[in-house]
Amino acid sequence: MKSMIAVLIMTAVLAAGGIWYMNKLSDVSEELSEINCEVREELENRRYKNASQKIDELYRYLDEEERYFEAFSDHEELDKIRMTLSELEEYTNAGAGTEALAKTNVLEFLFEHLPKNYRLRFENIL
Amino acid sequence: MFIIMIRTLILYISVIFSLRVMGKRQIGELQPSELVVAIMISDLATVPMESVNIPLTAGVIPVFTLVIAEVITSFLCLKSRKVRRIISGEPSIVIYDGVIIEKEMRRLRFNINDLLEELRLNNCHDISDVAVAVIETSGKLSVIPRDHARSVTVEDLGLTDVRSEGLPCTVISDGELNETELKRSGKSLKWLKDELKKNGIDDMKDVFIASVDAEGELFIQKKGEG
Repeated sequence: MKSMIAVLIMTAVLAAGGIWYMNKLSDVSEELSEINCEVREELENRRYKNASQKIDELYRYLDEEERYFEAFSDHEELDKIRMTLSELEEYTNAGAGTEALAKTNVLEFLFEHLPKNYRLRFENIL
Repeated sequence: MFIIMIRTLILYISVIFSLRVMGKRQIGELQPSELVVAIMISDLATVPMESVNIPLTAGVIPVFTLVIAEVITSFLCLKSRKVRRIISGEPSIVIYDGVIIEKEMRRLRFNINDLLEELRLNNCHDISDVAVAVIETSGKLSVIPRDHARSVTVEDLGLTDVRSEGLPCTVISDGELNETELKRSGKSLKWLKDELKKNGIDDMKDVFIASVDAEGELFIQKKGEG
């Protein structure tokens, strides 16, 4: 009976943790995508200084939420985001609009991809 | 370096906790489902142990999920005979009245050499001495010998004054008194101290092990005696 109680508690903790993590990941992904869209808008209008400020905002937000990803997701995914973000920052500072825009596209894909792997879907189970 | 050590310790504690939750049967007699869980747990725990790129939770969550599945399966097996039959199978009789049941042996893919080996391990050297041999769900062979081949029991000999062999109570272990065991033995602390004195021991700390058997007799081994 003790084992059953322990198992029920573990099930409840894992289920609650799973739901919380999926929601958290979706929220963070949405927020990151939103800031990334703002970066893209600034780049399209060739306002590189504003774009650079938005990139800093992306960095700050990512730093705040990083621990959640590191605790549950593959660290490689986060490394890819950081590398692309670093490239975007350099292209923006150098005023290379086209390259910077390409990097925002890559980031958009990576941000959207974050929660996709963890959603309770048949494709993900398979 | 330290990260790997800490991660290993966390996983070690998680696996021990998991095995404790799964119960004692998990460590001894393994049923098919338990064997699967034991193999999977050991493998799952080593992956995040080795690579710091994989989050620790990637090892801990599957281990706990397996524990949940195993405990629920055991619970269902306990409650339902049907589930028990599906998960663990049923014991199979391979020898009945000294005759090997070939059909059952073929079904279990159990060859004659395996059977003879298991019989020898059960101290049975002649198939004709076997009344019933059963392959249990854990894969072990249980042998019930025929009347002429079984060991003589106290009942057979008609003895009345037989020394009882209950579980001895270890009242002192490594110089420390075990009050629960002393209470179980039905003896008092005063009695124990008197007995120790009779054996020339003034302090319990000098005793390596002392136990009281079912007859109430005390066995003492002093430290440094062995």
